[in-house]
Amino acid sequence: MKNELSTNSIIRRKKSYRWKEVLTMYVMLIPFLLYFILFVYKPMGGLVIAFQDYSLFKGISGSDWVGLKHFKEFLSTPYFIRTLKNTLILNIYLLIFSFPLPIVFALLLNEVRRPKLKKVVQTISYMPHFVSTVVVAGIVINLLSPQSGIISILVEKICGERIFFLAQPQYFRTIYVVMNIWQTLGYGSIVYMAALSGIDMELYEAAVVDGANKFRQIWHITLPELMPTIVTMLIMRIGSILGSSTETVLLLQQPATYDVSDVLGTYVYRRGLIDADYSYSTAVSLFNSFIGLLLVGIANFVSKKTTEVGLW
Amino acid sequence: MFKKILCLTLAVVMSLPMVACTKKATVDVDHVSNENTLCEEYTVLTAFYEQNKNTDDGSHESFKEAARLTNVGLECTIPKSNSDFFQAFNLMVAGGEMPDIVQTYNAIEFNQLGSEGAFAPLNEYFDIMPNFKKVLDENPQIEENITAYDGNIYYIPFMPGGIASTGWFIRQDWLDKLNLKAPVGADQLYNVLTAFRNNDPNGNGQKDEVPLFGKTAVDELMPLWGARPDWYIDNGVIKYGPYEENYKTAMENIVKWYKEGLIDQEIFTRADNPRAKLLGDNLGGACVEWFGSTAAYNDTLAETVPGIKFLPMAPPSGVALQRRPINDVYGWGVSASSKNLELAVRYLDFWLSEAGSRLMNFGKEGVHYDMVDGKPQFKEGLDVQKVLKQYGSQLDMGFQQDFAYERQWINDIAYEGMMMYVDNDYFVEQFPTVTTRMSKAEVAEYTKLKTDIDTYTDEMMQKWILGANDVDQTWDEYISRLESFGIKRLIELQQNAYNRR
Repeated sequence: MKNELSTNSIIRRKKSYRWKEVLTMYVMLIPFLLYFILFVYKPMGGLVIAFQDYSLFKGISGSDWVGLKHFKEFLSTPYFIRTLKNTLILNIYLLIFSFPLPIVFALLLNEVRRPKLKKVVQTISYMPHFVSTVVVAGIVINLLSPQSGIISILVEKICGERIFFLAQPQYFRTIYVVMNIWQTLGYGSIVYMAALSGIDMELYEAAVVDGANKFRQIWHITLPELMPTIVTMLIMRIGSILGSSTETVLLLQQPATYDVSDVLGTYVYRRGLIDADYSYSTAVSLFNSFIGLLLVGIANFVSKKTTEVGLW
Repeated sequence: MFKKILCLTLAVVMSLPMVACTKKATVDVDHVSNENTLCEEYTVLTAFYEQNKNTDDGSHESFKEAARLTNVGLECTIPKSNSDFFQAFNLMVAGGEMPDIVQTYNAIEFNQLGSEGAFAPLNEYFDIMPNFKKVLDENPQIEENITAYDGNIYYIPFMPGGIASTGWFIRQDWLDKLNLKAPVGADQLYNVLTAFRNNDPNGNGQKDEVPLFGKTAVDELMPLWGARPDWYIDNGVIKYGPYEENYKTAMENIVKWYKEGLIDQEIFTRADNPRAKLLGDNLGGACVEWFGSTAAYNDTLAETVPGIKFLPMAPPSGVALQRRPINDVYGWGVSASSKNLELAVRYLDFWLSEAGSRLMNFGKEGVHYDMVDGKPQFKEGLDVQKVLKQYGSQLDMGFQQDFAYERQWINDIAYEGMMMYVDNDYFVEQFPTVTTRMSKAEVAEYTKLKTDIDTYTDEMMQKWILGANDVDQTWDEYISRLESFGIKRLIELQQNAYNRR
């Protein structure tokens, strides 16, 4: 709460500045405003092609309007329910298993008192983030290969039988989630580390004087201070619940595991292999964004009601 | 209005690399008038051209040599920094400024844009394209394949040389060791593969042999029971293999073979090229693969796998499903808005003339090849594929490939295998490219139906083979689901497009 007070006082002081003194700040803002206008807001106009039979050559003004045709087509494919379900389940698994771990990792790392050790651990844990997903998937496939994969060989030694991990539906979700955790754990913790470093040390000193142990300190100081960051990250994560997983899934899936692995993105990708239909894929993206926005709105509302923290 | 918004955004994105790239190398041409000259004054045509999605800018030596012959140069407009051909293509079309010559990797889209007025119908210029006309007259099949649904021709395709592409290969040394003959028919193949599995032909005392491997192998097994893995044509009638009754018989047998370990247990999860591993570890027994690259393993593995003889054999079913297409779906065309339309058309035609064709197939005389008995013969010790690619021959564009080029660098094992397949004519009738002959609405319907049906048949095929589902129990449900997905309509769509000749 102390932080909040100090921010308020800064804002109050700023208000007394004359506008000329803050002009430089506004000038510095211009490139970013331009970026958002040119590359984020202007292209949004292109979304209208979701309601057209868009032809590159005729352009938006020359293409025929078809209303909700592409949305209807997308919602009526026999695989719509299955792909939607798989997308949701994979993303909810990530929310449950992969989202909290960077927080725990950051908390643990925060308690390491040797700076050198901390840096080494941090660097090593960031590394997977910089490895291309294709390479990570290749490593996973090799590790799980029934003939030569080290994990498969271990499993065979222990259980006495070979398991075809990537060809059996029941293992797919676990493999996907574990791979995601390995890839994002370290890098995902950066934002929490940054928030942790902003906590006033006096709070801990006061707590120690009051006789609070480590666990109590984390529970009553660190977590409440981290809460705004956690909630913001969670709401943003919820916004991308229908997207984001296509490449990884595509690299790991087999037709034999379509039952659990076929997501919206991979389905649309296979369709695009036959014929690139810009209107259709725009319609699907628009649908995904719409659901995402809706969920972000709901999450934000709930969060505001319960924790008083929200994006807006 | 909206087009403006889109274009502005695209223009900003494009202008950055464009600025850096407008300074093109001007070709210094020492042109001497000859029979290939296309115009009096040296003219430079612009081209949307790029080799194989790489980042090279298309200013190949071969184009400069062509400029010397024709007095027409080529300036490629794709920014050097571009790394995504399709993105650049879309930007170019949406931007509205089209160069004279446009390359394509997607004939369906090219034909659609052509019928909307983006590209010139080449069939209206046959009188100034004598070489292209001649190629089409000699190969009516090509003309059928590349004609769009509106009856026009919008691009000159790449036309591969040679007929054979993939074939059966078997470890002849294993056959000899086990006193077996090359198998003919399902029963003999079954016996040979079983022997490979059980009799330890690699002699390491372990039962680790993988008798049959490679994804295409499963497809090529199907004709043993009269089935087909995909679309095929039966006396002018288009059929879908997985929808036919004999597919069930084939599946039941393949499932049995897989269960007995005759087929690679990791067939679906292996990396793209299982040959390197399975042949290198002396485990693989037979596969169906490309002649040239597969035969080359005999040379590269000669030391690590002593005695390896991985030789081509006749297909046990008597037919081979894969052959080289008579024409590919990529090539190039001329944009309808070109100011030098006729010249551009004649320039494309030049590459099909004798001089152009030789330049694109063999490179430059005296540098890469010499004429021996009236035929180009590559110079001794030339690393043909690499050197020609650098020079700018054998590019992805509209020209007719000469098999004599490939013959000079593949080894004799591959050549003999190819000839065996060609001489005995094992090939099934090639499935025609029907999608290029569909209207935009038909393509949309086709795409929707095909995505669902392919998803389902791929999934069921793997589930059957891996043992998750039983063929006999699920067959009726499988057929009724295919029907509910619209298999009959998908067949009808293709049949209509096919009949439109």
